[in-house]
Amino acid sequence: MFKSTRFALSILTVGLLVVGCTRNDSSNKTDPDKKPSNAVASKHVLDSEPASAKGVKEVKQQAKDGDEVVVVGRIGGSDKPFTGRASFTIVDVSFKPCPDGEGCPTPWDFCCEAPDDLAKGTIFVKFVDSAGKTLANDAKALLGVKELSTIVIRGQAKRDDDKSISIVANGVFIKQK
Amino acid sequence: MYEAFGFRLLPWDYGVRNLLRRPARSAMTLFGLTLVVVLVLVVVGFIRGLEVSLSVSGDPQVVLIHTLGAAENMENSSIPSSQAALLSASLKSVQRQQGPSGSKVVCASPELFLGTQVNIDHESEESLGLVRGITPATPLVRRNVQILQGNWPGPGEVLVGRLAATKLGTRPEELAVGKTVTFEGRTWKISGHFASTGSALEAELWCPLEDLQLAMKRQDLSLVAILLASGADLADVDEFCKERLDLELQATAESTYYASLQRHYGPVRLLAWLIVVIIAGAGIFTGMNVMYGAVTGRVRELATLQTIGFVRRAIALSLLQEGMLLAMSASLLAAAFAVIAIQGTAVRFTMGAFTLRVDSTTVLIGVGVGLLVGVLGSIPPAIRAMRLPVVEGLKAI
Repeated sequence: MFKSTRFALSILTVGLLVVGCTRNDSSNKTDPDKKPSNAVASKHVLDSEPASAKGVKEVKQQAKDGDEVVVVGRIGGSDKPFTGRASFTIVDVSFKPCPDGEGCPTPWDFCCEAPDDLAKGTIFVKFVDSAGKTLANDAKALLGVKELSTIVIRGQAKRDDDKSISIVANGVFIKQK
Repeated sequence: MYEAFGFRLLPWDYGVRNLLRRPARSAMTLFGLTLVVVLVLVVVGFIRGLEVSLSVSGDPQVVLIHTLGAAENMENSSIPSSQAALLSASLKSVQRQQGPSGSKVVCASPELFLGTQVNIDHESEESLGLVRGITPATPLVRRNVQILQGNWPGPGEVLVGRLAATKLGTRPEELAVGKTVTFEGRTWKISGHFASTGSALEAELWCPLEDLQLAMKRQDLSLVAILLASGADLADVDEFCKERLDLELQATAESTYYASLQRHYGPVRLLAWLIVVIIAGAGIFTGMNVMYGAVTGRVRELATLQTIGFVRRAIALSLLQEGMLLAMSASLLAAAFAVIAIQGTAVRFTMGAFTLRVDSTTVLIGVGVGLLVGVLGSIPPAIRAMRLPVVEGLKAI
């Protein structure tokens, strides 16, 4: 009787230690498959697809500073397309990620495409606050997107000089997660 | 009278005296176990040295800006020199310090970094060295660098890291201040020596950026290292690089860069831990062999102890005590030897050089292995001693 009680207590102690020492990382993880529900997200995520979306290449060539644009693309262009804030790069939908069989750990970097072509078909997108500063929230959690998500961005083109162009977005429609 | 666990124990000094009764065998066992623990300390010191060298190399406030895709190999990075000025002017997140006459100095260090053949004092044999072209702004970013001897390098001069001699496979005297080294077709006079809290930089040779570019007939840079302003983070620089895709730049936190090198050396560390296990295993068998010998040679003595009233568990415990005493003495001797003779020994590796670290963690692991060798090596002979029949033991020759 005494032995079995002691055994049960030992098991309980070990169990408590294991449970107590297991780190709960759920607060730090972002689940892109989960639909964003907060107010900031709902302000940016569109329920319907904006009409007349253009490809990234077309927008990069034609858009002038301040133009209202609607652009369709896939999140990617490098091994880390997200910055950790509400900003990321998207690439033209004509680019194909490396096939699954090639064992590429980051197919969203489109490493099978020619680097020069990829640079011409990649654009930076950011969601900003009223002061023009990029929102501090991670885009993955804020918008419910992830690498290779196909999205339609609605926003304003920002061209600094002849070479550099980005989009200050005010809405995103997620076509495919 | 010693009593514990419900039975009478053999006196503590009985075990000690037993060890001294056979001084030659005890000394040889002590030497063998010391050797085992020293080997363990060397291997653990190697692992710790590599880990610490790479972990202190990354300053969390420093961001490296380099070519796209060169995050794991800065030597392959090439960015136009003009981009250093552009980055300094455009990046708001770079720390700015008060300069002379009220001007602001941007904490950005344009650098050219490469591995190249270095010839010491015109000897025929060349070694692969790590060379970094630097500017007077470099110490603003590389905050841990200290000049130990001599001066900052002037034109045609080179500042030598504390571990550069190890990296080049030569004696430190060969790189004394005033001596010369030859690389990239030019002879450079050594202006001084520097340290950097044990980081990977200590294996490098630093010379003026412009001189290096001239010697190599190169106009480009490998990277621009920047010191982040208070409150700024990597995302600020990352956003700039992603927004200015035309510049084809990428930002990597220096700590991330060295963490990736840590991962790169993962298999080496795994192998080193495997060696620790093998050495410990060998030590356990050595200890076991010696203790078996001790039991076999003392069958009559152990039987006599039982006859006069000591239970078998007390005898087994005494044998365990002997094994532990030897192992702990060996561990202490080995730790003392390691701290005096092994600590700080420089080791060359592909990314530079580092020193063996016999710190508290290393000593704890070494002594722990020694203790384990003592316990595990003594248990089977102790069990054997417990099984010996008293009558047969007393008749044994």
